[in-house]
Amino acid sequence: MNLIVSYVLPILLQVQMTPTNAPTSLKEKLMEGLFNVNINNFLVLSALLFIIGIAGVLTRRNIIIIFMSIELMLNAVNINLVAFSRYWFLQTRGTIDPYMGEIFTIFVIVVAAAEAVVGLGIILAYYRNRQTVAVDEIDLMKW
Amino acid sequence: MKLLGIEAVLFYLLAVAAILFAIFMVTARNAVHSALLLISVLITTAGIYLLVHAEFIAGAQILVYVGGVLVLFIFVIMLVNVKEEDNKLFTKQFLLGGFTTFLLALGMICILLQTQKASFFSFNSPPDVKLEKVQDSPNISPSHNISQNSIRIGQELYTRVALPFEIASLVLLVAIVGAVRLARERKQEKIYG
Repeated sequence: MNLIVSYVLPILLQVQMTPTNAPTSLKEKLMEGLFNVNINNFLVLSALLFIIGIAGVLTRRNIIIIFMSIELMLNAVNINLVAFSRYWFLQTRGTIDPYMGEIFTIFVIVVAAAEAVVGLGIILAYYRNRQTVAVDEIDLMKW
Repeated sequence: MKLLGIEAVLFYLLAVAAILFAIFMVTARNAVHSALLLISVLITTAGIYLLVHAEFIAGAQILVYVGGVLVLFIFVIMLVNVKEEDNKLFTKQFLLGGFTTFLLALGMICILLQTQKASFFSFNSPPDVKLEKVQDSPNISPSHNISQNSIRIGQELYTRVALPFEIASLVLLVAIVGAVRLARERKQEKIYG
């Protein structure tokens, strides 16, 4: 419990750890961190969504839900790209390549759409042959 | 980059909603429920994009993902006709997969702890970057009420990154042809060779 309060909560709520005008009590630290959303919050959100997607890919049995988890992971990466694009825009005040992160996000969306189309085509072809979409019954190449 | 006040509250609402929807999506029993929850995750993510002034990405997210990809997913679920799975949601490697995910989560938390400690993420700009006012392109009328995001992204897409843009369209063409080839039936193969 002490570990959670002292280590995990400050990471999740992004409490400022800087020594200048540091709030004294833990409650003040948490309140200051709560209403001060900076880029670390976006990183934490992206990491959590990515981990949930990884868990879905590694544990689910329905291959369509595995594909949806992959889409979720790509979406988590897109959050990182857009947040860093805005961060870079504000850091350089729009002088050096301010929109490249968002343009890369567009390409990630394009590739995700293409991947979903081809993957769903493979799923349909397999279902037509074997009448199943459970990944532990797709074991034709297992010897 | 700091969001303050009502934007911070909105960020927390959208983030908590996205994480909850994602957890429910991964653990849903019915595949159609899972698809609808993924739509909810994508829409809340589009809201987060709006918070960081990426309006074009938010619109493209809703148009492409929700309007295109997820409709395709729901069609495939309908065609494959998956019943509610008979008490076996997860594979036999559930514990191994959970342990691997736990290790990954631990690694990410360690990395986030380091970024928290480093002063790299302070708001102060690095000293070696020249801070000049961004010049408006002469073609654009300076209307400051409207966000310049979509205009600028369109300009970049048709000037500097025009070649990757065309390559992306080629990728989409190949994907369309491949999907049609993969998903056609035996009867159609006999007819068309």
